[in-house]
Amino acid sequence: MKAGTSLWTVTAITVLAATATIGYLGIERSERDRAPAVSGGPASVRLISADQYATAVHDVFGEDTKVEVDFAPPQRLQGLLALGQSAAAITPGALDQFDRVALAVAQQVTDDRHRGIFVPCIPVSVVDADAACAKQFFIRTGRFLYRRPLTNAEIETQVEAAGKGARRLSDFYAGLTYSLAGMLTSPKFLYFIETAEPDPDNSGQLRLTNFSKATRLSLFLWNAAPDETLLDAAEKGNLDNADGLKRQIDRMLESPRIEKGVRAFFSDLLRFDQFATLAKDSTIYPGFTIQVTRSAEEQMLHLITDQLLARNSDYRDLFTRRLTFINATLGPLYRSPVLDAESWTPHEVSPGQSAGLLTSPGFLALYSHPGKSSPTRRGRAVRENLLCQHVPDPPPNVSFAIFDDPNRNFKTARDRLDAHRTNPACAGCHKIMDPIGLALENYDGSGAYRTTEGGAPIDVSGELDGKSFVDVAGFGQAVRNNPALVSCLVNRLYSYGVGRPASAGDRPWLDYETKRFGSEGYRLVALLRDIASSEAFYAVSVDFDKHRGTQDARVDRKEE
Amino acid sequence: MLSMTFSVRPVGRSKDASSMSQLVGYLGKNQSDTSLATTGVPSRAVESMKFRRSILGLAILMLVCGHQCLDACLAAGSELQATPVNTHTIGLVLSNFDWAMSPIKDEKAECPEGPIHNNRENWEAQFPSRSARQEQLNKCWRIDNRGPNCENGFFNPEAVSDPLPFREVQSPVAYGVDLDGTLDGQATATTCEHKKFRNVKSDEKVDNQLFRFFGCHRNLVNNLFSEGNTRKYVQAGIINRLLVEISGVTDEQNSPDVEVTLYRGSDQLLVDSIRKVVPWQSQRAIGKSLYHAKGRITNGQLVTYPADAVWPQTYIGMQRIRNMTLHLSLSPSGAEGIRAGYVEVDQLWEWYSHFGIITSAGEVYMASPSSAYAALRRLADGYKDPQAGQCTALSSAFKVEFVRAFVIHPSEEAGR
Repeated sequence: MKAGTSLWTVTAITVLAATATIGYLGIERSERDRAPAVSGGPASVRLISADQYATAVHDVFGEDTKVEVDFAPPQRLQGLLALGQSAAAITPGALDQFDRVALAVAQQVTDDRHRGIFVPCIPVSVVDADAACAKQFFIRTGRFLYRRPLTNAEIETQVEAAGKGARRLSDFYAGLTYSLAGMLTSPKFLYFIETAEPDPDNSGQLRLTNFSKATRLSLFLWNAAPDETLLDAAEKGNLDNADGLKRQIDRMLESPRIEKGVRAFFSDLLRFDQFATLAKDSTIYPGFTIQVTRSAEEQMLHLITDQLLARNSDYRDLFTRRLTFINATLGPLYRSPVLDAESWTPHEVSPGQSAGLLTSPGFLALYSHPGKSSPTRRGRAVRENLLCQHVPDPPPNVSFAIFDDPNRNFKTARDRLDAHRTNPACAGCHKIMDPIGLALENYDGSGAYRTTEGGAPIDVSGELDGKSFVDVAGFGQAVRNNPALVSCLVNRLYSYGVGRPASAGDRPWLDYETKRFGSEGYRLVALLRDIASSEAFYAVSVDFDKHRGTQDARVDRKEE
Repeated sequence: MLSMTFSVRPVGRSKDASSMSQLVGYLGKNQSDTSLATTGVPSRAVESMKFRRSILGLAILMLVCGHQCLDACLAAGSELQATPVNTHTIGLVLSNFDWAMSPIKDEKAECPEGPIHNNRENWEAQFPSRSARQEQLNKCWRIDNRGPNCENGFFNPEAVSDPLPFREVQSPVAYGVDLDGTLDGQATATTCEHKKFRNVKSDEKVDNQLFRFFGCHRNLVNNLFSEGNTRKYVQAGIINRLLVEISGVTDEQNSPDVEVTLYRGSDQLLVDSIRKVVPWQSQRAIGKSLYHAKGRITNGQLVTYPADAVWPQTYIGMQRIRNMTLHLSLSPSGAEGIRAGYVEVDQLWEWYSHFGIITSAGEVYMASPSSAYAALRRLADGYKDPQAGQCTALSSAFKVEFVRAFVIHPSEEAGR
């Protein structure tokens, strides 16, 4: 090849690359420009959850650190526990628990086995204070625990506490233990505290600090505190520019930790916290053991991550797919062989019998009574969790006399509910819940398939918001094609990320994002990227109350 | 690294007859053809012969009918071909096992003279005075060292003479199967004279000398051999994980020619919240088959033809059972019935004596060893030693229960 030709080739490639880069950035820029502006909400303060606590400890001090956390969950707001965390206070009882766990963790960190790993220096004397060594420890550890560098005053406080402890107990490491336990019970660790600063580009407006952006992003994508790379990026101010932010988002979306984040969101959305107290009547469903409960929960999460991450497929198909996964515990429920006793085996549900996630034993059992199925609970779960539609609680004086009358000899749930709906006070709500739940009646309260109830054939036909179906697969299709399914996901995911309920001021941006989600094939990863890279995600405002509008937070009450 | 591949024998699901069956099938298919074709062990000679027969049949038809008839013949053939004869395999996992020792639940009727005399009772009878007992202990150290030269009754049972009789079952009823083919238990060329029992559920005369021997071991029967105890061992133990495959089933009510194979299982049994074994679980088979026999299903009752087996069992270990037969009543979720056959005196004695002396259980559960050994040999009714004329095995019957399961056969990948 001649030198002249080579030069032309290199030039051409350079020009093409530059054009592509400029074009790409231009598209990115124009996307950002086209997005409706969002005034944002207040900087949030969120209480750490049990999962986030354990993850934080494991991230900082290693997986072998035992963390026995069982904190009481907060109240659910707008369908999400994550939003309840933004309004949660620490009660004296909870503080006792935090204190106990903190001391247990701190003792492990400074014990003989671990001090060499986590304490970056050797004290001059192990029976006395060593301020220099303690300072090194707290500068490094504190940055991870508080998700930002410690201020000098904070370092001073920790070093002083460690010194006092060391002198009183004649043990450097004991002093370190108590000072570290103090950090682990500090509100700065127990709460994710966002801070805002004046926005230099928009006079009079606020923006999140880089460290607050890092924490919001990390909680959203990983359900964890920021890692070292993200903290470094925040410290350099890289999250204020689109390129720097994009690099971090791409990195985080490609990390295996994204699975943990997606699991956390869907566990919250689908109220998997209820699995912890799920119990069935053992005389009616003896097969529904605690092992089945655990497997059923894991199966749903496996299905979700397979569809949305491993295959990067359409979110809506989660409600129509026939392929699921079973393990040795769930095999009998499906009457299907499981080749490998230790892992999950793909299993295709028979045609006409699957509505994807909605026909998973976990969903069906979770939204049932202990001894029978519950079309009402199932219907309400679909309406509220997946379609973001509010179903009022039953009236306090509701009568179940007809429903429970043994002389009426109702054979199927449809018979019972038909009779119950004769009460006008009940009919309104049941009309919007029951057709959904009745579509799932081919599955009993334990999630096992059936075609009859009380000797009578089960009729699962019905309609969902104007779309008729004759079997459960048709019902899944109706859910898939329901426009509320997609807008609900976008709304919930955004609220989950920003730590506050979406407001009327967010509506134009949510509508825009819902359309964009559709144009991207309803792929969750694309949606996560869109939200995480949007200005709306990081927007903060001191005038939030002005924009709150009609979507005031509502404390969800227990279902009947 | 060991990598594994699996083949699954489907349970309760029909599978199409093999292509070989289809090849030979459209002229003159009969039941035995189907059985051969779908049990996976077709004979090449038979296959070839049938193919030739098919071609010959077709040629004759062409000559007789002419071309006009050929189309109709082929259409009829296609129709036959399109109706595959289905066979499937039923998989089972052992869910409960019972020594079946108290069929009438009446201790007085079964053992009217009382339970067996144990070693201590015999020692006291042999040495009636306090001084005689002390002298025996000074000389021989232990009460089971009661032979003339301090021989131990467990190790050398024939050297000890027990003064008290061995007590055996007297009642006429037992679980069991007619193993010797006689109505009165008279001696035959291969069996020894013995009393027959009447079957618990019918008037059939059955053999169960193992029950006659063990039935008055009341502590053993009510504790170690109790149904609850055995159920616990079956569900939680490793040794009792047993899988059965019934292959060649054309109809679960009536299949004239099936094969039954027994395997050990490697997986812990899944049990539900009321401690019942869950049907339709997957169980991996390990090792070679422990029993393989032909059988038939009639009105939902499976009966296998006798064949020797090894049956792993709590306490006894890998128990050899001669001429074992299964009589099971099949249901949509499992099977239950009787496992019958002959158990060898030598193996029983090995277990009995070791269990008695090693676990110090002799005082609590066992009869005095010398009288127990003599009783075992006296009660033996099968596998007559032609030289000595002495029988070497006892007829036996155990109750067994199974639930349906997917039996999975892990196989080592070639070239690992």
